[in-house]
Amino acid sequence: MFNILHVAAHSIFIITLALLLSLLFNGLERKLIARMQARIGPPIIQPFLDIKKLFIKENIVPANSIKWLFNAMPLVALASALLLFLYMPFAGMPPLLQAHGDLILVLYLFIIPPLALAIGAFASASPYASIGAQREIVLMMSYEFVLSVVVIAFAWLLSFSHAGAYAFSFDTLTAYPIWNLVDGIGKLGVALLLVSALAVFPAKVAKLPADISEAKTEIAEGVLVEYSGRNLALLLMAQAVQALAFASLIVALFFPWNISAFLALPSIFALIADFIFFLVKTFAIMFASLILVSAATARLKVDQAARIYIYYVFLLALFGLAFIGLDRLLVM
Amino acid sequence: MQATELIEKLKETLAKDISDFRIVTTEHGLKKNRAYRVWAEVSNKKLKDVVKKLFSLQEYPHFSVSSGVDTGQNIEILLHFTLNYAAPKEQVLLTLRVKLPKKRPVMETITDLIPGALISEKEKREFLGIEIKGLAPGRAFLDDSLAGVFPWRKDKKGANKIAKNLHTGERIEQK
Amino acid sequence: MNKSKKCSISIGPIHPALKEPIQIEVLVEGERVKDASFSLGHVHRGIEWMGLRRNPIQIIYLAERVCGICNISHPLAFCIAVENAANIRVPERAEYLRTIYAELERIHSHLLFLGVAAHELGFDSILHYIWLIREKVLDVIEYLTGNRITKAVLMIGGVRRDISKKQIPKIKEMLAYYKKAYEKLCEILLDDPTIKLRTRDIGVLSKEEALKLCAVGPTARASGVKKDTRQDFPYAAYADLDVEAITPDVLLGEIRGDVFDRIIVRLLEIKQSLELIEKCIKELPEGPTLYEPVLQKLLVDLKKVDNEGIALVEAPRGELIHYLRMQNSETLFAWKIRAPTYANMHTIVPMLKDSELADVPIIVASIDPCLSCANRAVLADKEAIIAQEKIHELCVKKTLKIKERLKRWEHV
Repeated sequence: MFNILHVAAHSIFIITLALLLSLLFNGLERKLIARMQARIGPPIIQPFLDIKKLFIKENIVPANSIKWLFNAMPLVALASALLLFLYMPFAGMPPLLQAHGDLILVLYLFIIPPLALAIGAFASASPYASIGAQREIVLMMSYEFVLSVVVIAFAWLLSFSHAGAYAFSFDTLTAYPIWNLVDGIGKLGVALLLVSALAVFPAKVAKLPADISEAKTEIAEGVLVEYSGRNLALLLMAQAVQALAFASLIVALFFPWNISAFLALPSIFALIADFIFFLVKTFAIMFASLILVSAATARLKVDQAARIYIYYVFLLALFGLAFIGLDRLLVM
Repeated sequence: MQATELIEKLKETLAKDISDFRIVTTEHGLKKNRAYRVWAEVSNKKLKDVVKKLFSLQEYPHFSVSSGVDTGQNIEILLHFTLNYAAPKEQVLLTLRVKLPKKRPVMETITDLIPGALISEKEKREFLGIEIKGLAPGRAFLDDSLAGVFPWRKDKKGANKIAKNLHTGERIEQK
Repeated sequence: MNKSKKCSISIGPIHPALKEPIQIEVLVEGERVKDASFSLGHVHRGIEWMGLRRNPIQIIYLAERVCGICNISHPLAFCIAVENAANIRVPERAEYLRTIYAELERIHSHLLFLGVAAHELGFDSILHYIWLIREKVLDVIEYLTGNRITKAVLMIGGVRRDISKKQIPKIKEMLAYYKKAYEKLCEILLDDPTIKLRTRDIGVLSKEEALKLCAVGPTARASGVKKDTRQDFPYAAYADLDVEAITPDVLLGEIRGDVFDRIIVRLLEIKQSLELIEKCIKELPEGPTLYEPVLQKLLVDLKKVDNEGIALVEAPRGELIHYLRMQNSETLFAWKIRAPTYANMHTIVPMLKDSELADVPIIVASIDPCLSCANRAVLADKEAIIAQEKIHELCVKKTLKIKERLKRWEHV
């Protein structure tokens, strides 16, 4: 009984922290992009203000929509996005529900928010939203390939080097950082995997150049067009949370080190140091693949983006896999 | 081709069809370059022939727009063409004037010759209440609910009241 | 969605991609546009109709408000038409000053367009960069005319404000600034791969179609029609300046008539305008700037005119026509404005056919539509206005409702 309460309290703490952090990162991202565009930009706490305001506003549900579906999907999206943090290493701590889920579960959970968004958009019966939803699905089908290749590469490598360990658990991933398992050409392979995972990032969170499903100037915010008030607030939070979650996934896969291991600090300081180090790592990932990229590109068309993901990024990931395989062969 | 040359040719080809042929020249700049504006009147029947003949002078005569004026008894339609474009400083601005009797203001469309005249002709139909034979149906500017009101008319069919301060619903009567 | 099923999507009259109200109805199959049509008339203000109730000098200010951007071109065309009807010869210095003002406006308008085009592609960094450098020309316009946007410098028979010798260094400084910025702009727009990916071979308008549909301005020139009123039918000081119509082959060696070409034409025209301003400053003749400085006398003179006048002006978006008739009266007898967008609207139909839905905004934006120019009409005395009143009434009601709710929120 006590255990359940403890887990519940801990989960609430993690979820609240994740939500606050992701909104803060969102604000930072907006500010930085604004500075890059020679604008002053909104204050960093702007996302909080936005969400607060959206909760005050009227929640309009289109007359000919499927109402329960339309209203349920934002909740589903946010809930599944937040759940991610319970199964992933977060802020330098091992995942809370480690025993109950692994990398595969996390990948599935990642699919739910965009899918919920698409379903909600279809349910709204707006032509703009349905076009946006179609685009979202097309895009999702094209980049999920890449992610699966990345995950397969990790599991394969781990199953070779540490045959006894469970390859899909984050514990194993943290214990044996991938860079240490390979050398030479294998390191190049891992780097390629990292690049392809970073390339998926903008599409995953609908940011430029892959904000195709929203495409403000084309289909008027597409999937979001009919959402307003509370529902929109939930969706915006879900997107922000997803961005942080994906950044932490990349951190967990590629940069699982904790700084405390190197510094030998007393435990409380170690916790803080790890937390700060985690923030730095996730923000660096977001900066490289979201902020810089979206400040320097135009929006792609859905067929162009799909082609890029299916051909080029996918090929890049395959090459990464092949290089790792080659490295294993050389070692043996 | 020079502008003067074109005007001569124009006179020659259209001699039988036009009346009240006027050339207005203006000078511009320090070099006193001349700009030629040509005005001519065409009867309603011959308009289409005249427009066809313009094609012999220029592969694609550029139809700029048609203006419409309610002069009381008549409705005048003025078709503005620019000819000899792409020849530096030698373009001619030709205006063909057609007078339609107000009792029966009917004219033929030129959209089959010049597709670019579409909105212009629709505008004349909506704003002056003339009938244009052969023009595609549908309105380009005014709302359907305004059918029967022709803002450019100076008689009772024109717009006599306009809305002032839309939010109060106040309207003012015009003289 | 069933692939074979066609679906009609309406872009506008209110849409984030369109800065002004026009309704474009596209028939799409999947993402491909099968057919397109447009409807105008969402911002009728009855400007021509209002003009017939004012005297010519008052109309100059009305003409300025036809369009927020071409507010030199419209009054200039109007003034030239009146001068044409009344047979007024404008002093040479005034003609040169008019040219300078018109070219400043062109730079400002084309920079605005380039920014908007980038925005339609989702490339907001370029939008902000271009609009940042646009500030310079606005500053100079303010310095010369006293206003950033609505300049109010033109008068029948000349201009209201002279450019003094003291002001010229500031213009020259602007020219130098833009020459540098132009290089940077070329670099951004010509070399960026994502821009090329989104604009090359998109929204193609063939030369024949451009001629048939009577396209004007940069839209026609990008398709290879060497038509420029400044070159063909010189007004103001353009007769002395030997302007040449710019087509994209100057820079690229070929003409494709696509969105990219339309961007390039405008980019090149910015450079052309800079050169024209430079020339004008160099050759600026001395002399008066107004044909008749006493406006009462001018009005009395104009009252005696019984004639019609017509003027062609190359506005930033293309050929602009003002036709007017004066009949011994204080007010005009007839006034007709034909803005360039009015002529270019036709061309978006062939451009949109067989394009992709994602390309619709950039294609529509590529003719740089200025719809407040294209729409000028009047409200009538029928009950139809009720519709708008009703909408307004509903808006007011809604606002009150929201206010009420907000108040409640505050109490909690």
